[in-house]
Amino acid sequence: MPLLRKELRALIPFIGLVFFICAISVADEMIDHWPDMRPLSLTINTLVAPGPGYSVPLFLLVFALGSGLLVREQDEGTIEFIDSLPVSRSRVFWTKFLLASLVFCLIPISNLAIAVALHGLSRTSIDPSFHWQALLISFFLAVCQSTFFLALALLLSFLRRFSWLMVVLLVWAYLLVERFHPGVAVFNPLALTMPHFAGQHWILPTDLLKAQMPLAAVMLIGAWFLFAGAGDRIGQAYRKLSLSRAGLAVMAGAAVLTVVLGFVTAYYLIRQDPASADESADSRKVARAVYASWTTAHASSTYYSFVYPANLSDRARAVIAHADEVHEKVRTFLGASAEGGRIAVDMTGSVPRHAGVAYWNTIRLDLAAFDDVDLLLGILGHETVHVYVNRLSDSRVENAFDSTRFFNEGLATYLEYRLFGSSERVRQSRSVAAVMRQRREVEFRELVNNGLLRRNRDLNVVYPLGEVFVAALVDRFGDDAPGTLLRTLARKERPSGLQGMELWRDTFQAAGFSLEVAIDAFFSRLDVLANEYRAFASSLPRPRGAVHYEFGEIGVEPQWAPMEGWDIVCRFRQSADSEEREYLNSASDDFGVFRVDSALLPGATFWFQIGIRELGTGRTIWEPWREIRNTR
Amino acid sequence: MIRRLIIKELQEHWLPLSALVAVSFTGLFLVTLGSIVTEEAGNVLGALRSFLLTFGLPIALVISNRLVVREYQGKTQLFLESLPLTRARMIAVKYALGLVVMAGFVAVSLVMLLPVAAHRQPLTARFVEIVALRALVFTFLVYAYFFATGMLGRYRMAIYALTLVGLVVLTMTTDLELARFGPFALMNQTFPFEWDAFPVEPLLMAFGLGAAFSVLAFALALTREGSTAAMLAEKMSHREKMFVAAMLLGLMFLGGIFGKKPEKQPFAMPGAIVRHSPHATVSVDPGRDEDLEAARALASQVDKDIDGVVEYLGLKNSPPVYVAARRDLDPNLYERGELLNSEGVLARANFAAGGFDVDRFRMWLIREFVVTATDQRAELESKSWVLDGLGPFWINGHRAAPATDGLLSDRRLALRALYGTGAGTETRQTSLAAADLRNWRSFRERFGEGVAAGVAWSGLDVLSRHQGPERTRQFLQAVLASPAPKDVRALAFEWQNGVDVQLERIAGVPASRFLTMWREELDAARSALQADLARLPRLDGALLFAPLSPETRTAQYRVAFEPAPAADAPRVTLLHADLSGFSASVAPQELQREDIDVIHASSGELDGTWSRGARVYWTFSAEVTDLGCDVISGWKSQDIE
Repeated sequence: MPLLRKELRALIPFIGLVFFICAISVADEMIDHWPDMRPLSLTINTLVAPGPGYSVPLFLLVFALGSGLLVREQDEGTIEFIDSLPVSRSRVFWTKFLLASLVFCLIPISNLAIAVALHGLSRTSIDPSFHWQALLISFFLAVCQSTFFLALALLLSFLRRFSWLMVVLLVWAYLLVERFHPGVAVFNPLALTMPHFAGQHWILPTDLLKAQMPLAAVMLIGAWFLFAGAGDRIGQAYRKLSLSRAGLAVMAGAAVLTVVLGFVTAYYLIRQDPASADESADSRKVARAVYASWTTAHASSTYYSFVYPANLSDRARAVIAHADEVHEKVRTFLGASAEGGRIAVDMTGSVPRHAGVAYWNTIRLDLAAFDDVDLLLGILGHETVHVYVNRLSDSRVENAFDSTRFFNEGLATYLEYRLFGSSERVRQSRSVAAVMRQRREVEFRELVNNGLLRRNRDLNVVYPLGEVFVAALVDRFGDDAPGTLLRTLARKERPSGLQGMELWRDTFQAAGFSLEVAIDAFFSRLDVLANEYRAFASSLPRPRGAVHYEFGEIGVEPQWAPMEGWDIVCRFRQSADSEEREYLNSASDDFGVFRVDSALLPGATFWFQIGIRELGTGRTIWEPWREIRNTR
Repeated sequence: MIRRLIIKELQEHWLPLSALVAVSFTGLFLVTLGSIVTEEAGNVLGALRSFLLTFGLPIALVISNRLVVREYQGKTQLFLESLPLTRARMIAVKYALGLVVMAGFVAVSLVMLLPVAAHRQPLTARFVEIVALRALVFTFLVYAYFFATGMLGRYRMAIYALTLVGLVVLTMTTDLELARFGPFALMNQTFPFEWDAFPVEPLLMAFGLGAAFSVLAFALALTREGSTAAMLAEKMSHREKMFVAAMLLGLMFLGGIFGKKPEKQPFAMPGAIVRHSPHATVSVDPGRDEDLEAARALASQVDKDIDGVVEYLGLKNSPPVYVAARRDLDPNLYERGELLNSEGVLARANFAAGGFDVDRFRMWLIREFVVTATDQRAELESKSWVLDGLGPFWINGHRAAPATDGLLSDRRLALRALYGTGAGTETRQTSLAAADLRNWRSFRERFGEGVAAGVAWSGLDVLSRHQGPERTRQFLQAVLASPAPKDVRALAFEWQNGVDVQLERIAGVPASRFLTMWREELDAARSALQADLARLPRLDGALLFAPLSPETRTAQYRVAFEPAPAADAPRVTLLHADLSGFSASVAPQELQREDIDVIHASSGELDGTWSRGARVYWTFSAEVTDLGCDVISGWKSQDIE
């Protein structure tokens, strides 16, 4: 009891801080909102399932407390006083841990209490329930998450200042490993409190808990082991070793060995990359990524400087010979000045799934992937448009990527087709837009919100839909309109922080255009296309996917009426906000079933998307993404 | 002596510095590896940017802590001060040593990464200079900041937090774009790609800030013969740390509450027809020249309505109204646009289309206008029925002398009211109850907004005829337009000014008596319109989910249309949407629509795969000309089993 009191006393300032945070939450609700207009459906994202916006600051808070909880006793010399008391270090350790855990429970308790009180005042007849199951799960997962954070903080705390550096290192290591082994997401503590619902019931992420709670226990035991005595012995051994040259050599050798082993492990993990074979999906049928050869050649033109594989010199020269014409066509259309220096073009390869990619004053494209020079010039033109979009908008298009991607890709596609394209490619692209329109899948609010679009649809629809939008824009306001909008985006007096519709509304208005008129023209144009391609759209089958779990795999069995010239495709992802590069593309087995190792999708739910692909052209029509409960 | 001092520092810190080097280069390795294998950075120098942004800060923190904080906290600087060496030199040696280590990280990283980059792009001397200068100046600033704050000893944590909080509050409350501000601009996405231009302004700003922090560090170290830094070096107690943290959080909270709110931008639709009146501004955008006349007529009509409603209700706030043409919408389907950063009501409608019912649109728009003007307070469920009734009540002559034929003054609205308050076509009794008014959202979900508006209109019409138009106006003002304080006091306000209270206090009729009057009027109208009522169609239906596999389903619908549909039966539409989380409904524009030809097939299958455990919100809907609105089978929120 005296120990409990002593530790409690030591934590009083921190408890005060936690209460203060809770008081701030209450005050915020009471002062800045109408408390009778805050039902759970509105407070879920701030109080019940606040996501990373809450988990990251919580981690910092827990780490700040946890990293001093044990070692402060040693650093301040009070450990000797504790050792003189009739209590074991183990008891001290567990008392500290339990009290700190209880303190961190106060935050979710307070959040949930506020949410319940507000819902009590705001609930309507269509949602009278308090959703107790979801609230309890939310609390339970918040406790598990803070326990994990605390365990990590206690273990790393023995590294003192290096603990923060170690956290950064762990984050990078996690991101790298996740790239090759998506299953490692099972150890992501931020995913614990991401809500997944079955009906209105919050699904317990059992796979995550099964992995993270034992890991937290191991970390806790490690911290206890170091605090309860091993730490002292290790410290003594280190001091002893550091006094002799041989000892120093041993330590240095061990450090080098550790680093080498780390690098070897990383290399091994990368060699085992399961995703590399899956990157076959690409709107332009780039079947493979060609990496840089060690033999490259350089060339330059008036507006570009090139690096290309030396073994493709003829093809490169054919592209380079016409590159300046491409540049001038793009520049003239956008009404841009030629200032800004040469554009660097790396023709040794692009990123997976893309024929080309543009950055600030830099373009990458895959010379080896295509032997049609006109097509390569089209791609160069497309990417040059992106470079000019960034220049003219002073990078604001890139900074507001989520809101502007459809316009950026739409403009590049529009100009690629208009200045360098063939009617066949335009037809294919527009047929995809027409099919979407006929299926009532086109929503402008999705186009200006890449996150929302990603949640529901194939991200590549920004190409055909963006192209139709820009065509409608040019049709309604003239050829100058895209360039004017880009220059308007770059204006200095622009209000900051605008996103989505607000960003575009502000830009159109400042440019002297009406966004509403542009949207009207866009949908009218889509309706014309939908009529034009009605027969084609109606002829397409609508595949379904039956999900099965067997032999540690998730299988999607397509159900569709096969159509000549078309094949079925399917892909998976962990969550609605998974990056496109994290999608798991799967080939169908002999029974036509698309399978993926279930360990790669460890969350409470996963998503799959099924579609049809035209053989030969690669034109793909995807169904909307579907979220499925993980009940394997 | 300086050489010895350097040797002393190296002897003291060689192991932590070595560990730092090992950890940092492991970090650089990981970041670079990630960049190379994902092929998405575009340039391997992007890895250097990520490295400096994520590892640069903790590295500078650790170095400063070793060189400065530890020395002053352990008071070992007193020993150094006893040496035949000026204090300035002692500090300069520490400062230079740390800076060299930091610059070394950048230099070694560049040496390692530039050859890799050279394989993918032509490297020019200018490019290397630009990248190196940006990296070094950024590193210099970060190091100088941590070195200076290290001198602040006990207050350094508070300064770190204050810096962070300050940046967050600045971003939240001003137009400052952090990514374009000096040091942050140095490390923006152009870092690995800028070939031509030195970012002079950010470089100068970052260098200036770094120099200022350096001067501050020396000033602190040398002021009063170093006693200031020594005094500050005392460790902060746990209590003090928490106090400082609480203070900063409090400041952040106050900054959020009382800081400059983002100014709402004026919204405009270039080319729109604009009408101004004393209480309203209405813009209607025709979209194309052919629809100019329709836009003019609508603008005049809406302007008159809004001006009148504002005056009638005594609304303190009259947001501008914007109507945009959307030719892809059905004539009687309207959309609300969101104006998050501007004030006003943005509506989209196909007002130039043949079947556009202008009165129906006006009713809808008046409701939306009042919702926006009252900051959504008028939508509180307790007063929702009053809000729903306002549009038709206004359109239907709110000031007119009492009608002698009761609710039959408007046959369409009366039919809607009777449709929504009769349990079945055979019923002669009105089923309206006080609970329906309290639970108005459920009522709307059962009958649809058009029918609910008709029922609500009948209530206001009864009130107006029995208690007088002026009392009704005052009642509507009190219920819809009284501004509740936007804080916890709103609870007391609503308790004292509820609909029932206002009925008795202002309209002069107790709620129970009013309900009885209302029912009697509905009963009377029901007798008169029984034959018309019997002809109105009623919709019922089901959405069934058949297993495709244990976790996936197909969706099948079945709709019942009574009386049996004739050749001119209205088009039936299945409206549906996925519900997420605790949502109980969705916005109209998020609904999926499936047209059903009920004459030929009353059942069918929806496209797509459905997931077990998902929630679907759905209803069948059909437009009924006699009612001038849609009837629905009732919204259902269904869990897929």
